[in-house]
Amino acid sequence: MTTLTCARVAGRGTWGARPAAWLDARGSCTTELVNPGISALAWSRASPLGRAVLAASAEVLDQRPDLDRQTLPMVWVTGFGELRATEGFLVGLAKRGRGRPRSFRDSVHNTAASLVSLHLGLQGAVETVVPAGGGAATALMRAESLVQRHGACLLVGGDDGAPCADALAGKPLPLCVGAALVEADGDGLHLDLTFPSTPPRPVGRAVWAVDDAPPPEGCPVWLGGPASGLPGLVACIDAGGGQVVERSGRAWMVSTARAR
Amino acid sequence: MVSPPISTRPHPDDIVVTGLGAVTPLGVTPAEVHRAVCEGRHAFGPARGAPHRLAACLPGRPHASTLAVQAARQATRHRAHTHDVWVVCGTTASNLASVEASWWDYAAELRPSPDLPPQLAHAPARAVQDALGSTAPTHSVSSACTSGALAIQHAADLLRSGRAHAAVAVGVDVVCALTLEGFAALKLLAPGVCRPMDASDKGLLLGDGAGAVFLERRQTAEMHGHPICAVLLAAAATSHGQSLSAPHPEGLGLRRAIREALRTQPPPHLVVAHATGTAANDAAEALALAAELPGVPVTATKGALGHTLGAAAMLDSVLAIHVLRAQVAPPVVGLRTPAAPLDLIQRARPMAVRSVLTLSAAFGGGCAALLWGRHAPAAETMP
Repeated sequence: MTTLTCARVAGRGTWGARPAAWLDARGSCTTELVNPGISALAWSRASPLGRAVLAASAEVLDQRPDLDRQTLPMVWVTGFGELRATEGFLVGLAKRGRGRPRSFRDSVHNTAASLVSLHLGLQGAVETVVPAGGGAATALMRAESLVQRHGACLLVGGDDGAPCADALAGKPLPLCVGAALVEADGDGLHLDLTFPSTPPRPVGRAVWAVDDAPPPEGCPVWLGGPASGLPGLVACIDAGGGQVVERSGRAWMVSTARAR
Repeated sequence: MVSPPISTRPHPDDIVVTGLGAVTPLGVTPAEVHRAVCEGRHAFGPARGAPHRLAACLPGRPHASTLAVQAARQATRHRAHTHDVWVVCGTTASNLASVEASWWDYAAELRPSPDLPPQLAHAPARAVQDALGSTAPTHSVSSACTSGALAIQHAADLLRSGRAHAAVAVGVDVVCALTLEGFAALKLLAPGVCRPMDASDKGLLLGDGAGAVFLERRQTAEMHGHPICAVLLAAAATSHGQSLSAPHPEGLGLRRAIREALRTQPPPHLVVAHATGTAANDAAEALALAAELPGVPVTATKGALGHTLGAAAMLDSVLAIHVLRAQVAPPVVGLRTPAAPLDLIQRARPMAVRSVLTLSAAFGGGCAALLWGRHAPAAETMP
């Protein structure tokens, strides 16, 4: 087993494992998200995912106004990014022979992170990682290096859900976004990442974020989706501690938030 | 301007390149690609599936995952065992070209399809992991056109942190309807061939491609007797926070990336510019280069290979590393009348090159810079 200490959590996001909002089959958000102070036009143009990412990021950053946003790096963890923009462009292409330029612009995976950079003033490295499972572990590994270099790092994760059968059948999809600020010497929880060689047994308050396997009996929370581990970890942070179990390919990963 | 020599001493923790891979319409090895670009060739022809448009396409219907595997296999050829190799892959559209038909049916009829394949950006990384038989975790980066550069930075950080002992960074993308028609919708596609940094620049053209670099710490490479191709001297990433799709008009994001990458290094001997061929990008980048690196020779690849999006920065890096080996800088293919007062290379130029800076910029404002140094015996390095 490999155990490495990452960083301490100074700020907290509140958009955790309990979905921040729900999307209906058209991709419209059923919950009104609060504008964190950006222009009304930009807010209205942002997708539900973009709005949730902006709201969660602003909430975290507002807790630390002393941080230099010119250099603060951000890692955006998402499985599908703005999949609905891709869908919108291709629908336009199929039906009208052309797609909307804005849909194409928004179809890149990094759009939500770019909104944070644009509207909340982050000008350091803004990276978008797209894990195949292991959203929490990937974020922690990336944060480890960035925190060492820059002192702190904003982690944000989430998805707007794939156009799966549920969505097409009209069932709402969870819009799950989590954000946290990690830094080398904060006051919050301690974050660990381990790579067990055999399937782990969750301990204590655990989130099982493996998208192709059911959770073990008694596991309280199960999140599907390739990037859902990070919102799960934020939920653990909110709860004062907990554990996220993930799998990527053949590798198991356990991210733990605990009091020092 | 005469650049001073690289002043760093070899260090056991240096991140070095010990393998390269490239798959493009102009060649399927780094040497072939370098030779073709030096000869001033380009790969543009009728785009796959849209013959009224131009693009640099590979024959047939290539799968992004397959190209990524081909490039990664080239880059890891010197390794007998690859089970411990971490894979970091940069891509934007991933395998979308291969699954677009399903999307097309869905889009046309909006019928429920539980099998509708989502845009799985991590698929190429997983394919490389499987092909190498690796049990190490995989990572995928999808930060638009800086994806390849950030994949290299990510892999280098995994090595520096001690988590990984060996990592292959891959960049891959295949031309698909989304990107082809998307850039057309933004009116950024060139009507003819792509002419980066040219006074007549009228747009970009897309291309298929994959590139790969195999990274290790110097200590590990020397212990295993792996030939060192180049050293990653510095890396930087910034965001200009100005616009979701347009570059900063004065190239401020690129300027900050250049400055950060060169904070402890002398100016490079050569720059491989992002130079897409679009008026806005090239004007902003020219301003950044003129301000930060006056007199440094500049080349670019997109007039030959097209814009390969997630693979672009990776292929630029592969070419830059090959230039360090061949000591011949390739020209900006397509360039006729330089648009900016830069030393833009118009014919292949034999020159002493000991460091190359590659630049990339992306939708959303991301900018990245990588500084590659020639692997020199200790006697060649300055104290």
